[in-house]
Amino acid sequence: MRYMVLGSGEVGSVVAKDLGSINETTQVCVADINLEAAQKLSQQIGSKADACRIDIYEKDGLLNSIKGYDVVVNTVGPFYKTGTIVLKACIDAKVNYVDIADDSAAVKELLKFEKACENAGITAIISHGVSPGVTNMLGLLGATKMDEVDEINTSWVESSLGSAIGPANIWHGLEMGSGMIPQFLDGKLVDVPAISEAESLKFREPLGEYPVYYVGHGEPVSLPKYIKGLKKVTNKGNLWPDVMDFNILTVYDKIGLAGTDTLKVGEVELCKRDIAAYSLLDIIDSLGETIAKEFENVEDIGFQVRVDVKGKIKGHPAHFVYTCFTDMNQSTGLSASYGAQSIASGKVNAKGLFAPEGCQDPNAFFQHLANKGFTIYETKTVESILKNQKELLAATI
Amino acid sequence: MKAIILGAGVIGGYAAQCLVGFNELTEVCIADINEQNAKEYAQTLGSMATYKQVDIYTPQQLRQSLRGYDVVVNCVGPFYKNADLVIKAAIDEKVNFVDICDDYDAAELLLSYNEECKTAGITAIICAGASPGMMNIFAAIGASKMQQAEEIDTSWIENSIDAVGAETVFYHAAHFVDGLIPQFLDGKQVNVPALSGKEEFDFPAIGKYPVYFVGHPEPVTIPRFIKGLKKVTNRGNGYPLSQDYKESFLGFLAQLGFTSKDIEVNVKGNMITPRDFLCSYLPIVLSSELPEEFEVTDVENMPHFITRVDVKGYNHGQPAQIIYFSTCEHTKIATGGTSAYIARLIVNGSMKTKGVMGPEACVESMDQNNYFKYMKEHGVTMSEVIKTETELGVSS
Repeated sequence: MRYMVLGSGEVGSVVAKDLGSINETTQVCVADINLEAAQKLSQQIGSKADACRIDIYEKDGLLNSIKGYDVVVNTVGPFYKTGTIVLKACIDAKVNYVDIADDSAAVKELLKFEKACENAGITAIISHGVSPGVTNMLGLLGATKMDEVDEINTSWVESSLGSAIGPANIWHGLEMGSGMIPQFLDGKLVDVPAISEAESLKFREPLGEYPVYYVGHGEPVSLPKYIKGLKKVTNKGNLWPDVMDFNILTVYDKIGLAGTDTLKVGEVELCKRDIAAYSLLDIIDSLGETIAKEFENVEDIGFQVRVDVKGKIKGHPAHFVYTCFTDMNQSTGLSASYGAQSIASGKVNAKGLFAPEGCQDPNAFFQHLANKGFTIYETKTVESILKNQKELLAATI
Repeated sequence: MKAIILGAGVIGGYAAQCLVGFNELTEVCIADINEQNAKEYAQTLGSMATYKQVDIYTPQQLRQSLRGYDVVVNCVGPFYKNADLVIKAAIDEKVNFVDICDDYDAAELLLSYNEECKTAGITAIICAGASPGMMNIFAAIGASKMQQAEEIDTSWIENSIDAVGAETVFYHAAHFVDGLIPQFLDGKQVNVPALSGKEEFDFPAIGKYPVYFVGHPEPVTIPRFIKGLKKVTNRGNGYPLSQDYKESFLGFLAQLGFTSKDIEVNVKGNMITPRDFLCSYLPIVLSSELPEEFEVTDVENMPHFITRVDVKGYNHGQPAQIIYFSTCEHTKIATGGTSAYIARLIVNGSMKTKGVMGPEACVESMDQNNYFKYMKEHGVTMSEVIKTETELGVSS
């Protein structure tokens, strides 16, 4: 099996290392715009790995570089910009594709290539990270255990401690956290204001209860495509600790600096979102030391995921809650790596473009993650009115 | 088969109404200290019902009145005052026994007659009302669905706004909020202050509501009949918050010592206990005008009695929790209905074990669904919530 991993960043490294550790793998090529970074990573992986420089915005170079690989794993964001560029090249080169696209705009765009992938005879799986990715699969897992499924509510909280925040992160934050974003409500995809509908949810320790808000993520876009009968699919997220609460993003929305159009400042034409990003970065930098000190002895909450699946089992209201506390880069990388392996090994052999819940077997997927030390808890609650024999449920759980 | 009910009050009357519906029985006798009361109930229940005057404080008369019956259902409270009068007579006359005892100390006393009941060859099921009673049955059913049950928290809410009627209700309330009361914690029965241990639980119809430790029999009987438990608690409260046991009249008066029954105070030449004063005074307080902030309309359609039983333990090494909820229009339904149902289990031979037991000991001998069906027909709404937690990908 020959894999190409695009991007040698934190997620790309996990993917490349994981793929490099498997017997069936014959080659892992690490590709990055920064050749030195790619080489450094490939040296860590060993003899199966090599490195090359790819600038995904150079169309011909990209096309030539990916030819002949079994699967390309795209970890280069922001996906609303990069997703379709790499996917198009894979369609042209007839190479299978996996990405970790997370924002709703990217997922909407990528889903337009279903037919093209099928015609090219390739398998493309998008959003194969944690959120979206693991969240979608948890929604599917819960749905397969119910007779009817009404709602899948996905949520996440990310720690901002210990990770360097750059303008690109804030751009991404504003992409999913400003303006109108899609949620699947009352059986249809509708646009709602980002960072609205605050809700305090219980996550795993050490986080516990924490507020989350509507954000523009892929789950509400893809899940209703594959799981029929859903009335509601949402995604809510937030950053931890609370000085980084997403609420601050709404300020930029209100003062009109969240958009990507330009503003003339004197003689200089500036992108409004750049102004927002750099001013927010300035605030975060100024707070950096205080936060670091305050949280010196506080346990990091890592990346927290919660998926609520609501429906019915034999007519009884059922509510399943999936929770996990993980390292975001590690789990995103392991999930994407599994996506690539499942295509290369033929476990997923359907041609076309899918989100993971459209092509993966949830039990095999979660067994794989469990073997990799990724613990997900499933809390099942089923309610029955006590009347007669057939309504007693204990035997079914 | 013949049954006799002691106490023609609200609950005894309802239990009698239930008993005449059982085809195992040929006679249901209603006995009360007030013959007229007994007669009035009996006359509404058709030809199977008879009545008689009995004063349970007259041992000879009590013994004689039980003679020849297959089961006696004792509904005369307050139980902390008279708990063992009737069981003694039942042992002497070899009559099976059921009561709706709801006082913790009375339950302890009744359990001490175990050997005598065995020797007499009778089955005595005590605390067979709603709380305790129905809740103990839920606890045992929940525990039977787990490989190992460890904790059972029982709690109940009573809509106190229309708490009228028998003064025994006030004596019972004064008793369960008074002084130190037993809870079963860390594997042993310990005494804790009444109205401590505040928790807020979700209840049907009213949502989150505070409840406090009260002196009830559940922590006394349940650990004896369900093995391996580390914790059994009982909490209760009045609804709405203007009737909160701790934060309103009852709690304030309890803090001032008015629930005490162990001292007598000379009030202008009359020797009275603070509890006697409290139980005469509470009905006046409760029937007087309500504070303005309290909206009566909020409670008019509320269930009169709400219970919740949480059973926690392990299945296949994974934590499991089963919660039982119930609501009913009036406590008499769940209390009278359960006591009649248990009496039937004895007379029709389903419950054969001899000795003194809580209703949780009957669960193995009863058809659970038949019980649920029976209670539902009487208007008790019950639901079961099963919660399990597992790790994905880890085979169980």
